[in-house]
Amino acid sequence: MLKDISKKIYSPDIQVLAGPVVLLLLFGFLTIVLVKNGYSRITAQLNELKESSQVEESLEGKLSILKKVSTTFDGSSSSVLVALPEENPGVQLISQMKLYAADNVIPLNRIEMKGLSDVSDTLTKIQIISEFEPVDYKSAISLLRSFQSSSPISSLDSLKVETMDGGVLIAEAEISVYWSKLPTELPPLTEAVKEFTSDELVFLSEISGLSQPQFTIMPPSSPSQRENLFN
Amino acid sequence: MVVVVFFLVVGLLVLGSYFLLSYRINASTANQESLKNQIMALEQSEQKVVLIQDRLAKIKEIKASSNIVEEIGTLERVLGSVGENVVISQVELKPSVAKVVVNAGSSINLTRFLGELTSSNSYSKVVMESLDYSVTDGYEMSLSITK
Repeated sequence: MLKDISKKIYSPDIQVLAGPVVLLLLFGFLTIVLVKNGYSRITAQLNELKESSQVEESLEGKLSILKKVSTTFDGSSSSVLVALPEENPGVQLISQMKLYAADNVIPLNRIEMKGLSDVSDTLTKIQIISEFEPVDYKSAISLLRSFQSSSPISSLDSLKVETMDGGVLIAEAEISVYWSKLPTELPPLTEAVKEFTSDELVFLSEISGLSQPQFTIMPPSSPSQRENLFN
Repeated sequence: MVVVVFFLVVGLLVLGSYFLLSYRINASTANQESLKNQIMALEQSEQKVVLIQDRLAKIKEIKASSNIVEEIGTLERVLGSVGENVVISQVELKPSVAKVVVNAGSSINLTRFLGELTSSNSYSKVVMESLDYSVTDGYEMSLSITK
């Protein structure tokens, strides 16, 4: 009975067709597996290539900026560091003050440094109070204006001028001078460097043009004969 | 037969794309490594950039803080208005306000000075805080000037 049924199902026609159909199904199945797996892998690779190209592009940009910087901003870093140093530049400002007072023929009666305070997490200031005797108001203004083009960076907080007996002017100026810790970390290697804007470049050239305190520039001394202590 | 050819073509395309993309990814990674090495060699320049940008930002912050630069300009203009027999005896400059005490022998000189001051249109507000008169010293006027 069973043999009859199987003979009917596996008729000679079916037996001829079975081979190609199985083959067709097998290749169809393999094609589907191949396309599905291949597509997902290729898509992943395309994404990886896109990300890799972006990183490459940002690194190339960073490298070109750094190459430009290595030649362009040679003395600028020292200028900005004198303008806003890491440590209290009060002594430098006092030195500048004495210099400008001498230039304007103004006697300095008193110089006081006080009022240390934090402007922000990274910026600190101290106030320098100076009392001086200007010949007239114009010379007092000229003295104060000198600080606007002077390094280290300072801000003029107040000025009080009084006329004493005999017409002598006594002025008291409060000037704040600032300092800030140096940045301690470089950005990650793959992070792009921000290029200097034209405003920043103008500002940088202004900072570089500020008059420097005299004792920050050490003039080279010529070699001299060493003294022999044993003679 | 057609199915086999189709399978082979698809297979070749997939494999070809896979190997081509792998090659390009490897080349890009190698280029990245080379760029990273070059950047590391220029670390000093990067430090310079970071330092300059940090300092510039902070100097800008300082420049934007309150100061008496404008008031010094105000005092210069007031001095330009001072005529004969008018003397400025006291000055106090604070951020956003300049106070001056003016002495004059006669009210005519004082009026002339005030006229000069107000006609210049350089100030947004001029407040007369006090006006004293004594026979010996003449007029003493205290002004608070805002640009």
